[in-house]
This record gives sequence, C-alpha cells and structure tokens, in this order.
Amino acid sequence: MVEQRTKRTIGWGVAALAVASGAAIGGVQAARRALTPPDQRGADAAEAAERHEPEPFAVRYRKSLADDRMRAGLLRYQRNWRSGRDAAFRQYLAAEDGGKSFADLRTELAAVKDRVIASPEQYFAQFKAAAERNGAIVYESTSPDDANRYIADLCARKGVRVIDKSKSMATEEIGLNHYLEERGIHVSETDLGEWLVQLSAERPSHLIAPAIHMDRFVTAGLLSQATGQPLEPDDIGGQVQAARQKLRDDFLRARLGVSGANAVICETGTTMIVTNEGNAELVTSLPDIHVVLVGREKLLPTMADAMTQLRTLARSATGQAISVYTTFVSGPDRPGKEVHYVFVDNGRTAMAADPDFRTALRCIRCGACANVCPPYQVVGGHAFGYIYTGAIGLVNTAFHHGLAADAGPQSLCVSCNACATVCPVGIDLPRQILDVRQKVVAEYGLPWYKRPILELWSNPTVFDRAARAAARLSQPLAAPSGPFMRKLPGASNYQSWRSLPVPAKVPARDQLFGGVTAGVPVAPRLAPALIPTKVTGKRVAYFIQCLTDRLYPQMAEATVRLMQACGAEVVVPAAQHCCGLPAFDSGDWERAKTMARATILALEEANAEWIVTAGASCAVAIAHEYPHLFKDEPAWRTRSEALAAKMVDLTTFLTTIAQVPDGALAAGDGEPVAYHNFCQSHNVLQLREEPLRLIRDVLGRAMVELPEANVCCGFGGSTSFDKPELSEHILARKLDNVDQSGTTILITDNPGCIMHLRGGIEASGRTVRVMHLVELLDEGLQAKFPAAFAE
Amino acid sequence: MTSTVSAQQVTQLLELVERFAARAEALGVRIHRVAALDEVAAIAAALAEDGGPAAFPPPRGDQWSAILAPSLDNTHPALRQFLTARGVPLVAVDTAHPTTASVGIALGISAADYGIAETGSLIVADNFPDRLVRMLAPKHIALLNLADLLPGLDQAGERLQQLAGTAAGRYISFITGPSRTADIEMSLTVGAHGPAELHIAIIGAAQG
Repeated sequence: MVEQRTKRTIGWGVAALAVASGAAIGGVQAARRALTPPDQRGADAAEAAERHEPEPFAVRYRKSLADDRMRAGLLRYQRNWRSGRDAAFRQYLAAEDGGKSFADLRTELAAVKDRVIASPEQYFAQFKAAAERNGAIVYESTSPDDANRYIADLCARKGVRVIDKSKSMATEEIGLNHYLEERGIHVSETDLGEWLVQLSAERPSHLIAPAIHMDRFVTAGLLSQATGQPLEPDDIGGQVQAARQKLRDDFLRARLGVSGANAVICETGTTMIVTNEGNAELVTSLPDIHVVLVGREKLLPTMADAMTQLRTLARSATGQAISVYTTFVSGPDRPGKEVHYVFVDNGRTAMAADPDFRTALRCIRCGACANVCPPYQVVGGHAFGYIYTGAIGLVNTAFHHGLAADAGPQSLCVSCNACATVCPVGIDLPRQILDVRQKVVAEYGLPWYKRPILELWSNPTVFDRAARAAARLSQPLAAPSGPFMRKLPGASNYQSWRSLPVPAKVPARDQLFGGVTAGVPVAPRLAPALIPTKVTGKRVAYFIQCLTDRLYPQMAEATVRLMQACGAEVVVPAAQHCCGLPAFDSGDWERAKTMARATILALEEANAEWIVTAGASCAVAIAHEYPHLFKDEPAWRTRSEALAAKMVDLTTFLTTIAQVPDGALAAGDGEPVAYHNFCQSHNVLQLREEPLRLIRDVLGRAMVELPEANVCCGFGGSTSFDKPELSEHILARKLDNVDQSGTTILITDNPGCIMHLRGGIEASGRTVRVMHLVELLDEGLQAKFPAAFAE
Repeated sequence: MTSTVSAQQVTQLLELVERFAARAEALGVRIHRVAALDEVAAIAAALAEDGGPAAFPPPRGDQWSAILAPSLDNTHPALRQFLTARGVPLVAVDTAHPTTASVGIALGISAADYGIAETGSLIVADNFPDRLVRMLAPKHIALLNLADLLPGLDQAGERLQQLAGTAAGRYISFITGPSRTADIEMSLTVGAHGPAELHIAIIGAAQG
C-alpha cells in the first residue's frame, strides 16, 4: 500500500511535468488502475456471466493484452486481408467486361441504403406484402426479448427440441442461443467459426471470422473434444472434415433452422444469405421451418440493388469477387415448409432518427473496418467491441446495448481513420466513434486524471506558465545521452518502451513573437525569397502547434524559413494557443469549444490568404472537426467553415498551393529516407503522392519503401495516454516495419508521431533518425542556397 | 433453354465461356467443354469411380455410387441411360434421411439454370431433392448449356426478378466454386459443408 502511494505521488509529479511539456503523457498508472470504467459500475464478472453478458471491459482488455498468439494471428490476418481485398477491387476495375472503382461502388451502394434509411416504413410495408404473397409469415418484434419469445414459442408449438443456425449477428445481438438453451432447446451452430466459438463458450470476435482469435491448437482441442476424434493441430483439413461429419448429424436432427440475412429484398420478398461453407443452404433447406432474424437496415428495394451489394460485400469481406454460396429464399419451397421473418429493432429506429449516426445503418457487416484497425489487431474483437466488433461495433453498441457497454471499447479508438477508407458504404466511422466518446464523457464524466490536465491545457495563460516552469524544472532530468528524460520510477508502463522528450528551453513563440501577447506580428526574417512559387507575395498565417512550440522549436523555425523562401509573407497570430484537439479527442466538447473559439478568433485576426501548420493533426482538427464541433451553434459553424477553407497542412501548402517546382530544393545526394504517412494525413487529408513528390522530386532525395507506411504509429492522441499498453503494441508494429525497410532516416509530417517514434526508437536502442518533413526540406534549402544562410 | 442461336451469338457465347471458365478455374472449379450428353456421362463415370476424397465416408459396399438430381429425368432423360450403360451405380434421393443416405455417394449430378461470366458463378433455381443432390456428395458436377451463359450480375439480377413469384423462383442459389472455409487460421479448406470438388460441364462449348 505504501509502495503504491509512493508510486502514485511520483506518478503525479511525472504527470504535471509531462502535461506542461505538451507530451500528454503522465505516470498515473497506479491511479489509473484504481479507476472503475462506467461499464463496470455495479457489475462484476460473475454477475455479467449470469446475465450472459460479456465480462467487464477491463477484464476483456487485460485478457486480450496477455494473448500474444492471438495478436500474431491477427497481424497475419490483417496483412493477408489487405493484399487480397486491394487485389479484388483492382481486378474488378481492370476487368475487360467493365468494372467500377471502389469509390463508385461505394457511392452507389450508400445511395441505395440511404433510400431505405429515409423511408423505412414504406420499404418494410413493401417487403412484408411481397413476403406474405410468397407464403412467408412476417413478425415485427417489440423488443429483443419478444423476438426470442416468438422463436421459443414457435419451437414449443411445433415440438422442436433441436435447431440449427447459420451465422447471424442479429441472433448474437438478442442472445437467442442462451434464451433457447435455458428453455431446453439445443442450438447447433453450423458455421465452423461460429461453432468453435459456441464450443468455447465465447462470442464471435469478428463479424465474419468469429473464431479468428483462436489458433489451430485451440481449435484442435475444441474439435477433438466435440467430435470424440483425436485431431492434430497441424491437420486443419482433418479438423474441418471432422466438424463436417459431426455437424451433418445435427442437421438431420434439427427441425427448425435460424438464419440472419445479408439483405431482404422488398420487390420480391426475398432473403439473401451469403456463405462460403454452404451451411446456410442446408439450414434453410433441411428443416421444415426456417426463421429469418433481421433488422430493417437490411432492406434493399430491388434485386438489382442486391447485385450492387454483392459486388462490394465479398471483396470487402474476404477479397473474393463473390462468396461461394449466395442463397435467395422467397418463401416456402415445398409443401409443409414454413418461413418466418422476425424483425428486430433494438435501437435501430433511434439510430435512424439521429442525423449523426443514421449512416451507421448502412453497414453490410463485411468486417473491413476491423481488418484495417491497428487497435483491433492488438486486442481483438472481444475487447474492441461488445457483441458487434470493429469500428462499427464501437458505434452501434451504444444503440443496441447501451452507452455503458460502449464506454470501455470506444476508448480504444486511436482516430487513425483507416476504417473510413475501406468502409464499402462510406460510414463516417471515426467521427461517429468520437461522437460516442463525447456521449460517454457527457454521461459519466472525464476520467478524473484527465480533468485537471485538460483544465490546465484549455487556459492559455496557466498553460504557458506551467509549460515554462516544466521546461526549467525538467532540464536536470535530461538524460546525458540526448533530449530525453531519464527513466523515472513508478512509470514503467509509460516509459519502459518510449523515452519522453525534454521540453525546449525556449519555446518557438518566443523566437517568433517574443514579448507580444496580442495582434498579428510579422515573423522575423529567417530566409529571403529564393524560389518563385504561387505564394510569392501572399500573406500566410502560421499556426505553430503545441508540441512544435514547446518541444521542437527548430521545426517552427524551419517552417517559417521554408515559407519565406517560397516568397510568402509570414505572420504569426500572437494569441494562438492549442486548437483544442486534445480535449476534442478526449470527448470533452466544452473545453474543445473554448479552445476552438479562441483559435478561430486568433486566426481570423490574421486576415491571411492561407493559414498553414506543420502539425497535420491540427489541420485536420481545424478544417475537418470544427464545423462538426459547432454543429449546433450556427454562427460559430459558419466562422469555422470559413476558416476551414483557408486552413492547410504544410505538405498541401507546398505542393498544391505554392506548387514548389521539381528540383527547387535539390542539393546533392543524401542517405535514402523512408516516409511514414501520418494516418490522418493519408486517410483524412488524402495526402498520397504529395509528400513523396516533395521528397523525390522537389528535394531529389532517394527513398526506400516503408511497409504499411499508412498504418498508425500508435500515438493516437489521448489513447496513448489512456491505454499505453495498446499504444506500445501499435508502435512495435510500426518499428518492425521500419526495421524491415532498412532505413536510417524516417520522415513524417506530424509532431505527435515524431515524439512517439523518437521515444520508441530511443528506448529500444535503435538508431534511426526521425525528422519532420519540414526539417528535411529545410536541410535541402540551406544546402542549396548556402549564401543566403551564411552567418 | 437452347433454341436457335445465330453464328454471331455463338461467337459471343464462346467469349463468355472463356471469361466464365477463367474465373471459375481460378477458384478451383474443373470446367469441361462438351458437345453432347454422353460426354458428361463419361466424365461422371470417371468421377464416381475415383470415389470421394479420402476424408469422406467410404461406401458401405465395394463401390462408390452417384446420385442424379430427379429433375434431370425430365430435362435430360438420356443421361440416366448413358450413366447406366457405363455401369455407374445410381442411388435414389432419400429426402427423409438425406444426410445418412449420402454415405458412400461420391458424386451428385444436377443441372444449373445459368452461368455468370463476371464471377464464374452458376445460378441454380432448384427444388429440395435436387438441392440435396448438389449439396451432400463430396463431388458435384453441374450441367450448363452454352446458351445460358450471362455476362454479369446485372443480367443475373434481372433473371431473379423475372423468376420472382414463380415456383422456380422460391429458392435460388449462386454457386461460385467448391464449398470452403478459412475459419481456422485463415487456412483455406474445401468441402466445409458442401462439395469439395465442383465440376461444370458446359454443353455446346465444344464442337461435336
């Protein structure tokens, strides 16, 4: 206990320092352990199990972190999926018989789904009429329990003791298996992955690959026990065949089959189900009763729309052009057969009514969002989700299972936006997850250790004073080897795997507008106009960014020098502080708005043609998040939109706007560099070729390829603070890729990534140099025009 | 569904066959371009004689048998005779005990309604007994008429829409390759619930 208190005290000291230094990292692990996330209040593991709910989030998270075999499997899975999925869309586009691009397919399918979301009653009525014409029975349940009851009553009425099922997330959502088993009805899952999960008394950890968290040793154990045959882990074919034989017996006994639906088609009253195994063909054929459990979001107006969905579904799910079996059931196909539809709402109507979340109903359950998600790779779907997994699970859990169930899982999102790039129906998942986070904070409050940090951060005067104090106090903590802090006791979770930076003695603001606290001073002249560009003579306001200001003033200097060399008149609004991203990212909209308003005022005052920052995440926050932050404040929304039109990151400024010509900064060879494309630069700002063009063509520098260059480094803003273990694993993946590239210099364009990467590289004893793109370009500038910079 | 087909249509169809075959073969489907039904019987006889894959239940007697979709007796009445003439043991579909009856059956033979060149898929609008034939045996050979090849999913969707409300439209499947699973460590394994081998005999795709 004493030890813990000491740790906590030391932890607080570290926190205060780190906060003020802008590192957003504190040694509060002991305190953090004492916290009780909202989804655990009043519930322990035993109670959760009794109610057939997932274990508390903290338990799921802890277990997942301990499972290295799962993590290795998920990494292989994500990498295989990525190449297979990309190839599938590429092949379709290049097909001689006329394919469409992923973007076009997405637009097409999203439009179809939106039609249904806008008029659910009309489409439901059309479907119901068509299904009834086909001889099916359509039941609208009033609650998940009512849906379960309908199916249990049907079993009772028909004397059914055994049912078989093809994979259905809707049945997982309502807990159908437990409901029936409690009433003495045996449920046999027929999808192999789903059966494995049933055998291990777990839940699916992925929308389409339920048992992806298991390896062949686990499956061999489960299947040996279930089939009574000894099965070898390495003989996966043998495992599958043993399962096939065992499940055939169940097929014979089952009198009722339950399926979900990939789509229900209004014009024909048809259910569409896709599988690779063919189990849905058997589940919907062999028993005399077929029950389809489905939500209205699966309605599609026409058969042509179903074909549109098929073109994107399997490519997104598994990289196949189409799944092996696509089954279309339109009512009973033989005398004595019954087909029942049970519609379940469970929060869907509320989702449709909420303009911020409506589009989440477009989801076709392909699982792509999990397959690109860095945190999902680390913890798997049992922690990264509740019943539904992956990014979509972090959104719809709040509606289907309540906000408390989502409080833990949503905290794992690093806002890298990768999910948004592969979602085949264009759901704005990253934004919706942050909206869920805001709801969690509004309902349960911020974690207590974050409140003082954000309070301090949101007050420019207090922050400035604290940051200066921290810079002074931390200098003695600097390791002799470089600008990193010595390892401190009691903060091992935070520091064992990354070194924390020591703040700069003098912040960038002192150099750029020392002593001034208001107005828009012109930046000191650091370079003459050397390169004729499209911004020659244009007034450009520079937004410094917190980490650049307090930790890396040399980046600020390089940015101003480069813009001046391009002929821009650079001004630096003196009232600028933080854009508010740390608060927004934490779900603290009130403080985020306070900081956003102050930032808008400061930047408006500059009256500049462009506002430029070399902190790409701030450009994203200001240009992309502000308008949403002020969605309910029209006046501020309008102002934020006007500001968004002027706000650019440095890479866009140099390429698209200034159009710096090729070779402009080329000054001889240097060591080849690798480029880490900061996830939001790639995924939100859509920067693909631009940074590479700057390095290769403008600077003339050789490059080496960095595998998974667009995948998050693990910084993830507040996530690296809240979930350091998660952050550590994501960083390890990045550094492994850096090792594979063989590079000695790693370039990126976001100071948060730089802090994180430098820290991880230093702590692991690697020697790779991490630089901001602007520092690399600035080296070229100074080498190319030595006379201009001769002191 | 074959009727009179012009020479130009035949050329187009042969192009479709190539696309269809390339895409299906990439998924492990064996394509047989045949001119006449007797060739199908010859292929089926060989497949039945080879038996089922090692992991599948062996026959009760000495010989593996084949099972013929009942509707083929109406659409392709000669097939049964050709098979019998080649000595292929045929068993009848047992809809009452479908799964146990499948023991010892190496091959199911049934017809497809259309092919989709875009994806290498078959469209099968079948009744319950025919469906058992194509699902339960470890090998499946499907008969497809050259004239029933469709260019893509758009035309497939149109056919499904036309079939809606008819008896044949009650249950329709697209089948694209052999049954498979990757649920254990992403390891692709065929024959999960349905056939491990899918053969498609395209009748009219070879000159007689």
